[in-house]
Amino acid sequence: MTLVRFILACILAIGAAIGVDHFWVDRPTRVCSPGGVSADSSFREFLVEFEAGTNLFMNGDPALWMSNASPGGDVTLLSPIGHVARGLSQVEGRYTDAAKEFIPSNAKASFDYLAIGVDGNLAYTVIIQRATVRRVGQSEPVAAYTRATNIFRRERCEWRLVHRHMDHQKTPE
Amino acid sequence: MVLARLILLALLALAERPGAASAQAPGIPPASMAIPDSGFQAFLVEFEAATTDFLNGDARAWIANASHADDVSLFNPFGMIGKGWTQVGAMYAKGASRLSPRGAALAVEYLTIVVAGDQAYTIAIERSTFRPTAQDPRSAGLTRATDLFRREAGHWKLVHRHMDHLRPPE
Repeated sequence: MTLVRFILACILAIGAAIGVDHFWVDRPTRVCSPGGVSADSSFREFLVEFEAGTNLFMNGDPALWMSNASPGGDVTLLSPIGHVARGLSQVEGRYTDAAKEFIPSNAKASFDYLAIGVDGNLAYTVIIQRATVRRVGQSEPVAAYTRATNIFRRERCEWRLVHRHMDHQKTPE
Repeated sequence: MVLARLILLALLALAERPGAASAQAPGIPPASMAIPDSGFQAFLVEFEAATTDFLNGDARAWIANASHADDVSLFNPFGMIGKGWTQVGAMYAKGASRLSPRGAALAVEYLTIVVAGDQAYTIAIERSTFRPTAQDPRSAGLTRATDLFRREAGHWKLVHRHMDHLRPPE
């Protein structure tokens, strides 16, 4: 390990001398945002799309949701109906099953962000989500009031959901 | 020059980056993966001790481990919402005041621990026993918890906690 670090230090020094301007793929402003877009602004742009994916999901279409979710093996989900899912297979299965419970109804959520944090390749949102949705087996639309904590990671320069913790609340406290 | 750059890039690709996780999903930048961080691991031990103190009615260590910034938030297991330290700090103090200082216990099962720069998060199932002041019998708690942390002035601090009661899936 020490030898590797020594070699690495030499390489960095040589690289600086010959003008290699970036070594690590995790330097977002240089690698992921060649146009100078900061991590924060790229994340806020992503949130618009993520909200659209959420609305489609509540109308039974998980396609955009799934494309906004990380395909990594370390993803997790604490679902609003009590599931604890870990790993791509479990989490994708839960998302797919959950979307099937919604009937297309033009449902559109309102998102009240309590907190948005972005630092490097990691970001999170803390949200109160309100919507009126139609569910399979229910004759009338129902109001859904949900607390959600979402954690995102930038992968190949794209923001992806890696963890979602949701719980339904009957009424706002 | 081109050859020198190619050699450099090849060596960089082969070299193990210090602190990087050993198991990574394809295409995911190393910095955004779980990184073994001895400082954060040590903090978690302290954080668990503070949680046990909290369950025994003593919120001092808990509050010391929490960020007091305006952007902190809390989803507590009873459905309440706190935003900003004034609200969140009061909720923590009130929560601990409802617990008796007698023999609480805590076991934490971590689903995920991730450290990336000055941010970290944990996802855990927490099993606890405690005694509410309003009733003598011991109570058992089984909760799901997502905790977000931030390094402030060199110290890890809790910035958001989302808890709810674990129940059988519907």
